[in-house]
Amino acid sequence: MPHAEHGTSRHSHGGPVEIRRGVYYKNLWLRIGNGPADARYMDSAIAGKLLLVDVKGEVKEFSGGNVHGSYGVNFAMPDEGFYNIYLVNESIRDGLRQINVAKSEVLKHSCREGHDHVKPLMAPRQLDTIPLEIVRERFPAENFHTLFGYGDTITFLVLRQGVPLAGAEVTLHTGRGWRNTVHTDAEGRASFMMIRDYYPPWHEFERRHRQDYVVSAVYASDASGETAAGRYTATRYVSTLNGSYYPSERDYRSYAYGLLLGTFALAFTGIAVYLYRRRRQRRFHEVRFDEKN
Amino acid sequence: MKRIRDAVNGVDLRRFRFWLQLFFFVLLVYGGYMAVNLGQYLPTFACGFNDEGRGGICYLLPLQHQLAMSWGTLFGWAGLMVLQGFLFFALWFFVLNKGWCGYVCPLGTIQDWITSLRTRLGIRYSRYTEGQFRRLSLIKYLLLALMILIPLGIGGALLPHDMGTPFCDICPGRMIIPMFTGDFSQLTIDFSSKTTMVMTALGMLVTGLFLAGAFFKKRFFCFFCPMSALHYLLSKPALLKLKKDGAKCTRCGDCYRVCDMEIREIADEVKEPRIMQDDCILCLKCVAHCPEQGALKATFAGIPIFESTEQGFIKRMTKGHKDEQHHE
Amino acid sequence: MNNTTSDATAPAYNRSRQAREAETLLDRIQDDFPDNPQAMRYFYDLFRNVYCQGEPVKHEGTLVGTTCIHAPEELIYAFGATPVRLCNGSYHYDQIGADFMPAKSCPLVKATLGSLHAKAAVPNTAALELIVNPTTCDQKTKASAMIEAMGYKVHDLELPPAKESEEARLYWQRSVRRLALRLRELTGRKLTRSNLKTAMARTARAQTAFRTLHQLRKSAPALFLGKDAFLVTNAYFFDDLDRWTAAVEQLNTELQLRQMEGFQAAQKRAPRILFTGSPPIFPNLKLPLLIEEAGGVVVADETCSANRMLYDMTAVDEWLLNDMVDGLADRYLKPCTCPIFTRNDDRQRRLLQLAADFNVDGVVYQAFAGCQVYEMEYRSIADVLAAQGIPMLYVETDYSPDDMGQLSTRIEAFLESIKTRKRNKQ
Repeated sequence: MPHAEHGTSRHSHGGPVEIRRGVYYKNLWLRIGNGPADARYMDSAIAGKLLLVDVKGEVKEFSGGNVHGSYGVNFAMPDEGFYNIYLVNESIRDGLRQINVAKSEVLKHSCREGHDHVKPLMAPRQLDTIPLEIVRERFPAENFHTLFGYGDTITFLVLRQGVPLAGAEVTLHTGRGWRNTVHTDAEGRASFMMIRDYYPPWHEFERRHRQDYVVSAVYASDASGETAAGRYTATRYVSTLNGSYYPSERDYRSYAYGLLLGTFALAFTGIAVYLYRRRRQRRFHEVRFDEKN
Repeated sequence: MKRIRDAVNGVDLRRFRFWLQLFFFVLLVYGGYMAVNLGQYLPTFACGFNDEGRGGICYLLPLQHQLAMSWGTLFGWAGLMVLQGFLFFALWFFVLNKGWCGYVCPLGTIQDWITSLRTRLGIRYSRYTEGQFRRLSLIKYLLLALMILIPLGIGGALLPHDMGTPFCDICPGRMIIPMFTGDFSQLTIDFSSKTTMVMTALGMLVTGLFLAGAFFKKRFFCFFCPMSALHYLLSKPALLKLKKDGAKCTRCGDCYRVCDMEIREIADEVKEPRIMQDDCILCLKCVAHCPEQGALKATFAGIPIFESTEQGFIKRMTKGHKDEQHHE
Repeated sequence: MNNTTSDATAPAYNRSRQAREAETLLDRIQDDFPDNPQAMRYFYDLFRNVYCQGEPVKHEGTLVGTTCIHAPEELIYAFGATPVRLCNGSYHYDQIGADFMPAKSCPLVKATLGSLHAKAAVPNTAALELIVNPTTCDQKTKASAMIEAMGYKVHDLELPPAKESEEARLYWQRSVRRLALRLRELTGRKLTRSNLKTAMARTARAQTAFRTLHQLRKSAPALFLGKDAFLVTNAYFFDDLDRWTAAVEQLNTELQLRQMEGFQAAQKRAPRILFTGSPPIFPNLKLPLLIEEAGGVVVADETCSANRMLYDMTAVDEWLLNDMVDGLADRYLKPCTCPIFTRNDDRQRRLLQLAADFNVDGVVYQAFAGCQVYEMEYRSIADVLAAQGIPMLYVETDYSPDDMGQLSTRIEAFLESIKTRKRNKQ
């Protein structure tokens, strides 16, 4: 599974980037394991096809390499919007064909470009040639700044060669290893409510604390066939998509205290002015008139 | 032409203002639902936190945001971006001058509505003493300075990042304006860090103070508004102007006593024709309440558009005498 | 000095000195000039009835005397009372009042005291239940105790000696609010929004009528003479407010008609005079009358018996009692150009603006002998007028008719010099 890492030169909406001559570059590393908690980085390349779909929908094949010590990819993001990276890896062992698809959706956005062009760029993009693809559906009013928090329900669409796939097993892995498995419905959709798994001491709490999740979809097929690598009698498809979510405002914002303080200030000022006026009338014998008549 | 001019000068300014303010309020607070987008450089409190309804964004939000960029960026290419934003802001401002405050500002309009509520309840207004006025009048400059220095401090990594828009944090507009589109989420205390906790608590205190203050004092918040201070720094070349012909002034003080901002110079100054002071909100109530022909006038690009006249004054006062109740 | 106590043996009023003084003046006002406006008959008759016949002036409610323009009349009306201005212009009462004041003091104050002291004074009003005495100049301030000694109830309405500062304004507002309390005590009525509003509307209507008349006097050649204008504003002292307003409105209508017809009340070349200083009060209209008999025309004035009394109007922002009363207080203090205040510049500016607006050729400055404040302000006014090239005649006089001949010569010379200047300019 590809994974964006910290430590580069600049933070942009959509994670850290490197800027060279005004163009944003993204580094992604490949990690392998059972979930974000214990996945390891790769030292060397892994066989497979790397595809990049840019904002305009153009598909490019390219290759990865050693990025800052581990295997990863580095690509330019000249335009605003979402870039999709796919790594498709295929192997046959004991007559079982295994197809792994690692997908990552990367946003490039700088507020400098303004926010008027965002709407048409929001729709998720899919690639029909991918054997098994997970697409994260958008929230109704989602924009480049939208963050997901605990309690939000994220819906994924599972596609088999671009066609919604019912009954696929979809698992969500949180950063600490909690997982939840559901099956896609008739339209190929699976939904998860994000759960809180960030419990720091109060004073260390960060509302922008990013938590990664990985969602995987598994699908098996009995169809037999033959490829250049040999014959197979069954195929197992595994697809992953990574993403991140953040503490929910509900966790750290309090209406009770807010309204308490606001009401206090309102009442305090009101009473203070009232008393001041009363006192002025008494001590200085201000003449004031009764408005009620 | 003369007939049109007389009609304009005899206008019932209270009613005219009420409807114009309502129009701009709807435009800036609900405009978003009608696909209105006037950009993010508006010289008025079109609150950016009113996500869905906003018809444009108050310039103070992007300004603080931009100034909080790291110094390397800010004093490099991004500096140009800041200047460009400021230029757009200035261009907007030049059209209406401080008329943005008296006619457009949604927070100003809300204060006028609260004032209207008070007069209906038959409760008198408060005024500051002269000494208080002079001192309070300086707070807006202090807020403006802090509003610029704190984000700069953040950019230089001297201050915590979650103080990025310090003025918005304490601006009552952030709590109140989104409520008009059903968004009450700003009425919360943010416990995620000490800074946000303090700032949001301050914000809620200011909101309570604002509501009570605006009830007793006409345009309570405008005395402290850093936008007003920023306006004043740019007000000289603006197109809409308030002018006074001191020779025609009898110093009767009618303009001063109706002034929401308690600006004494409007009545006392007779030498300087450019009479607009830093607290002025260009509501033009002074022009409407001046009984001297041509002593006060509002001009747009040098053309007089609203002038004090004896007839206009008498018409407006007669209406006041006749009104059973105090209406808009 | 006159013996005022022998009322039983006094001749019938219409044969008294007082009545003759008034009658002579009214004859001159009416008969020396052709084409007086028809609507002026109301005022001529009013003065003849009140001053020559000694007919009583009818009023509604409690009668409250005022000794200066600073007493807010709207407030008095609002309590259902009626104000009557006591400032007096009669030489007869001036002589009576001389008993109370030093020899060299203001004839106006002396005449006022004299009329209050006299048993059957004109205007013949009902008994005054209160006299509101604003503490303006020294002489009026000190008159307070003397009036009280005559058996009247007096309310000293405290006026600040300067009007520029905010403190003065607030002090005065408090002063006016206290007057309201006193009036409540006196009348037993309550001040309400609606009765104050009604009172303010009545005064505002009168002021509007006055302003219309004032603006009509801008027309050149003159449409209306100053002697009539002073009579109109003098009637405001004691006449019923609404009747007065209606009469002025009628006069305005007539003058507007005359304006359309191209009527001229004076010669085209007649020097246009701005009258300032001590107030001409009937029957002491000798100076304006002399000017107009000599061929000049008084087109505007800056005196507390006319313009200063009626011109400035009250503005209110919120129609609540507190704002209305404070608004009234402001109107009676802030625009006032009375020389008792510390600074002279408001009066200077007002005169210059009137001179410009009314196309004035010269200024006549009347200072009552003994009215020190006008005497002291003379220089500063003379300086600004000279700087603008406006000639000014400074006349120190009193209520006695003795200086008529000498004044008439000076006025004729002054008007002649203005005419010469005008000719030379052309």
